[in-house]
Amino acid sequence: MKTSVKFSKNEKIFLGVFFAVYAGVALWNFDKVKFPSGVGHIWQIKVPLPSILGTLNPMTIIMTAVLLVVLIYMAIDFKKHLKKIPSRKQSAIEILLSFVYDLVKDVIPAEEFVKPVFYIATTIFLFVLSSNLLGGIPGIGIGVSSKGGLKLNLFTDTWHSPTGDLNTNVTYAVMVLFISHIFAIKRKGFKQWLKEFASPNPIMLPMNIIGEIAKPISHSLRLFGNIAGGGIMVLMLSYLVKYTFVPVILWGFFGFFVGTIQAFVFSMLAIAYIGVQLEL
Amino acid sequence: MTDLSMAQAVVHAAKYIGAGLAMGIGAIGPAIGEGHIGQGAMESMARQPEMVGTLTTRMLLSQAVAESTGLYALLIAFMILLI
Amino acid sequence: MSGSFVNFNGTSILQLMSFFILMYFLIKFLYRPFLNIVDKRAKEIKDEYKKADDAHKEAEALKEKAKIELEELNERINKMYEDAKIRVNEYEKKEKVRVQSEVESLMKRARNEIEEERVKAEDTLRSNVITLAVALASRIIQKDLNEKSKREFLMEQLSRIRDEM
Repeated sequence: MKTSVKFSKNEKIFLGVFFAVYAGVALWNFDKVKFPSGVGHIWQIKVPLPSILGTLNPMTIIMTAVLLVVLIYMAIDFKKHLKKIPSRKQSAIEILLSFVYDLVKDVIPAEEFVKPVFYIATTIFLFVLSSNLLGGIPGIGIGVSSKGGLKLNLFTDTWHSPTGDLNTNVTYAVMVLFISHIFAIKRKGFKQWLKEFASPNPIMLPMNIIGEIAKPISHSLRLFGNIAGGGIMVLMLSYLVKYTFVPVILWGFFGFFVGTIQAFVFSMLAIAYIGVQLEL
Repeated sequence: MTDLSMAQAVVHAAKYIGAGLAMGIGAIGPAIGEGHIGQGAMESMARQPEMVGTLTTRMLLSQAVAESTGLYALLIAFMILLI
Repeated sequence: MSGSFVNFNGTSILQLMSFFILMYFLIKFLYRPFLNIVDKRAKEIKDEYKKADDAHKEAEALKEKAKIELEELNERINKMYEDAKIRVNEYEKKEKVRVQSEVESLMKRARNEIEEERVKAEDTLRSNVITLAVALASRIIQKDLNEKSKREFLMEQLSRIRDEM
């Protein structure tokens, strides 16, 4: 039996150029590999004008903007080529979306909240997934050198994924918490919602409040730990193998496999938290 | 690293020991939990081989959730070690 | 300027804003068209099913109607057949009667004719007998004979007459 993988000419050219650049950079890096001293530190800037923003993480903002543009471009492309009999790309997107939709439909008990929850959960899922997948691709980024100065990472690190920044995860988790409570108030009414906190008996009130506060903490730290911890671990292992081909496999594992699962878990938990609050 | 005072050296040593302990002890819980989840999934897969697809997805999901405590330990270890 | 990788600062506000911007555009370009097209497809399939169901029902109704019509037709044919049978029977009876009467009349006529013939023949016979008797008498008178010869003579004559007849 003869089976062979066939590449088109453009793909061959792309792969050749990619591996040539990769091997060149790896060889160029080889003799000056030091322990990545800047690991665990990120580039931050202070906003000069007085505002509520304070300090910012520029890499996160840049990559978020890039992802936003890419996702919105893909959505516009989807709408432009929308057909009743779907093409391959359209049906792939439709399968993904209908998978999330069925999930939301199963979990959410109220009919009128299915669509908003679907919008929120799918947006979270798409953003987190694409951001995690960025963490599996070697790319260009700005890191911190050992003396606190900035340095350019040229394919010695993955693209900086926005979910590797605690700000994104905490924001999303807290937002999910707020949305779940807003929906709960809308569904049950304010009094009933307040009563739920003392639900079996008033002694359980602090426990319920702590449970609610613990939700976004575990929700956000899970994703952050996976992505940021995976990234740091990959950097350390990359140092051990002197930036040869092994990091690509590690990046692939931590970026694609863990990233996909964590994106699914994150949006699944968001749906579950909202669904639990919506139950009467 | 030669010009460290005694106190700094102790702090450095404590950092490494603390990070190692945090990671090592913190990995016990998730390991046991993930093992239990894998065991349950394998048993149910053996009982119902037609549910393999669904069970694999659910198994990965619950393992990812069970892994989170281990990841907190990893985070703490990194914070001790690097910052 | 650099900082720890675990931090929480103003970036979160920008992230929140970016989330809502992303959600707005994705709702506009991805989710609404997706849900619309899925609904449209579901509705279309339902419509097609309904149409097919209607057509099926219509066909069933037509079948029923055709069955009823066929039964009616069969009934009518049966009725016509029965009618025809009865009529044929009647016709046969009538014909029989007619034929019988005709035959009878024919036979009557024939009988009448025979009777007439017979009467005629009797008449001729009678006249013949009379003439014969007259001739006989004249012969007897002419030939004076004895008793025995008379009788013989008479028998002979009579047999001659019978032969002649």
